Amino acid sequence: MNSIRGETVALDTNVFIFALRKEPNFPACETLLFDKLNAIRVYMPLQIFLELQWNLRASEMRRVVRALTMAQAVTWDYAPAQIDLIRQWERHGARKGDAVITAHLEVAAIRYLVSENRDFLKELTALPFTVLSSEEAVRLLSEGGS
Amino acid sequence: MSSIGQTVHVTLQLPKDMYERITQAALMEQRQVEDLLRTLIAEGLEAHTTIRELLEHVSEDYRARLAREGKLHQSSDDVLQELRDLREQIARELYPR
Repeated sequence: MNSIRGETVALDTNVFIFALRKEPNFPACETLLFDKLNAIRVYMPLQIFLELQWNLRASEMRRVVRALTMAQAVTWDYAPAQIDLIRQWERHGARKGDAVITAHLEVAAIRYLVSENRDFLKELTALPFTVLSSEEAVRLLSEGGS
Repeated sequence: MSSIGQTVHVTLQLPKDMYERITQAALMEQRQVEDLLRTLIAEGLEAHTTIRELLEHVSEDYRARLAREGKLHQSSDDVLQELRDLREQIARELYPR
């Protein structure tokens, strides 16, 4: 697999939360968000933005948003996901929330989702993007230069 | 000797309209004005920091809050499950059939 350096990637909510919690089972979440953010272009769909907003206080959210503006690039997508695509992915076996994420990424032509949520891989066999763990993402970034 | 953790008292004058904006924001965030002022000053200082420095401070605040709420030592599986449930809840609210 090629390096994801310079690619536009979506970071799932769990990556942000595990990074900020400094979750010992997923240390690469912290590495990716704290040390590698400036090597990637981030796509932030409405669904993930709302999930973060629910988890973080306003002052915490403001600073996370500011950190994201320091990525190589960030795209804020506040448009709701397309209903017909959500239904299509639900018919393929995705839970509604995962269908929403998949619909967002498909329309924006995002090739990578970094997530520790393995449901995507269990539910769907023909995803329009590759799901990477934070560990895989960090490794791919390292292969593309420090 | 490290000065980390020590505090000092500061008295400052603010324009009235700025103070009113701060009290309004504190009310909306259900926080003490003094607490919000500390955050705003810290955010101003962070304008010149690196991503890691910035997120370390967010993490410190977030972890302290989780500790106060008794949620800091939740297992990663529990956190993932909560996030899954939240995703479903938001999706159902945003895209009702």
